[in-house]
Amino acid sequence: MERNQSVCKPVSAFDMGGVLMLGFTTFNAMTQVLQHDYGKSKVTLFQIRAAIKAVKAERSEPSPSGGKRKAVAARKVGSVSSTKSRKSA
Amino acid sequence: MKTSKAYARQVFLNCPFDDGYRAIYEAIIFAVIHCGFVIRCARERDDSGETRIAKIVEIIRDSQFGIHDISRVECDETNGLPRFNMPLELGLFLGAKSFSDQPKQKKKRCLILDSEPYRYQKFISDIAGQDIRSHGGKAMTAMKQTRDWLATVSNRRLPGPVETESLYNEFQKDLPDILAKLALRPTEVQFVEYVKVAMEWLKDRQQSA
Repeated sequence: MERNQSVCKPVSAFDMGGVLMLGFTTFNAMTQVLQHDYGKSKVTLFQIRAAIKAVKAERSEPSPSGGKRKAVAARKVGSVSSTKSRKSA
Repeated sequence: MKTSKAYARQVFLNCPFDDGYRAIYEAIIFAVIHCGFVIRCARERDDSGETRIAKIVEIIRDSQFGIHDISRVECDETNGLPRFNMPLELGLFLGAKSFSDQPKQKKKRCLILDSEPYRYQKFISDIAGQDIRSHGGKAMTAMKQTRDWLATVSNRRLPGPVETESLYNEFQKDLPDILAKLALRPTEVQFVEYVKVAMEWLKDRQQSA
């Protein structure tokens, strides 16, 4: 195995009437996303998680026409973003 | 999900934040988070009661690793002057490593990024001997450089570059819709907002795996 290659872990140990079958998925158990308190922002973690789950649900829904699903219209969850221009560092 | 403020897991990011550089710093931030580190930056706090340099010093003190992009050496169009913030913060980081008596500060490691190889010799030659890499102005190259460097200096097992790039591409496809639901314009997303979205997206992915 190459150094730093994603670690494989078994996801199903038994299958097919008692015959031992091992299924693997590439999931790196060593790199959990670490939490850090960055303080306040315009959107809360709750809002972000809800938005991610909503997008995920939309991706899994089949499009009525069978074609590619279009991005949904913006829906206010938090405060309106400011129009302050970005400055370079 | 672990909560950790360990010094050895924090990466200080010193880079431009203009629209022209956005693709690169978003890729770098994603790579750092995916590799299991905490990304820190002067833009994470907007406390008017604190001077910016004090904020930067505190973050540098808390971070074993630093990524410094010095590619923005062009003069500003409005005033004809170059910006020195990135080299200044790089100097602070190197100084913290050299002048501190704390053993953990001596362990600081930094990655210096430029757009072209060896170009630094023309305008900041004193940094010769540091870990300097070029990204050619390409986000995916910067991402790979970041991931590979973290794998080397941290001595930890990290996701492979192909996995990080693949996830990043998926994240970028979801990002516009996520921001739309949060009523955020892509060009106005602040550092903290982007980091939080990337973190939660990756957490969701790992929980689904």
